Amino acid sequence: MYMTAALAIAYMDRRMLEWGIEEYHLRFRHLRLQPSEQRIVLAYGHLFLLVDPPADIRVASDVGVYDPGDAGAAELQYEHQGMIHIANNATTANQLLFIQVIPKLNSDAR
Amino acid sequence: MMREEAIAVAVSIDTIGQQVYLQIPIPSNTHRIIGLEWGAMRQMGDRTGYVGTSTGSNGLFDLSANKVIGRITLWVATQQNIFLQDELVESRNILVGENITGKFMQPLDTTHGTKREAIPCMVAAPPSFVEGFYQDSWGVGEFDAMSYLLHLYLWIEKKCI
Repeated sequence: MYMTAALAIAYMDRRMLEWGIEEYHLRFRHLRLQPSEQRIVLAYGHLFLLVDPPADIRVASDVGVYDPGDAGAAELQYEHQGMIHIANNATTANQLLFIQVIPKLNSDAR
Repeated sequence: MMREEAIAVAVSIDTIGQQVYLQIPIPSNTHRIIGLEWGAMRQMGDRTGYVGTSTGSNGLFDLSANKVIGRITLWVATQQNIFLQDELVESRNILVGENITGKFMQPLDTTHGTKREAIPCMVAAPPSFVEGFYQDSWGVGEFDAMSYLLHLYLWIEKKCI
């Protein structure tokens, strides 16, 4: 079972409570990747949840790797933070879906 | 006490007509967002057809039409929503004293000379990030391929101890 959008939405509430965050912004990020494209997404202080990932995609960040083709990754991560390195290992275009969780800080609540 | 600072963001534009969604983190002690300053510098791309639109008399000191290099929209996740929407214009009259160009001179690789002013805006009590959307048009009609760096400087007022 992969991380679906419904699971991600249920999961993020609990995850934010672990961070002590009661309120947060949500953004749905849909990335379009060209063949063999590599991209960096900055997610410091945020949480990116990978949703229904395609094959031939590599997502690596400070807290884990998602790459079904990487034999060295015994466990794949759907949650990413920090500097996220994304690589489309396919020879065709690919699409990658994330739910981005942005904690509301004290300044947001003013 | 308040202090003004600028948050610098560099956006890489690699294809003509590229559209970019961006997020700019805002410090938690930001009191207000007060302006946007910008500049762009072409990195790659050969001009295929520049047609000067000068109407000069002597061919050396003319006034050229400026070019819209892109359109930017900035918004915040509060009731204020979109707070800035503008066309970014390349000044093509920055040679020889910042006010003129020459009939036989092609535009430079940079969009500004020494004169640059921030676009004023007002966002009180901003959230922890600003979102933006940029639509490029710099190379349209003049380049087959082009890449450049778009530098955005978001001016803020910060509370200081």
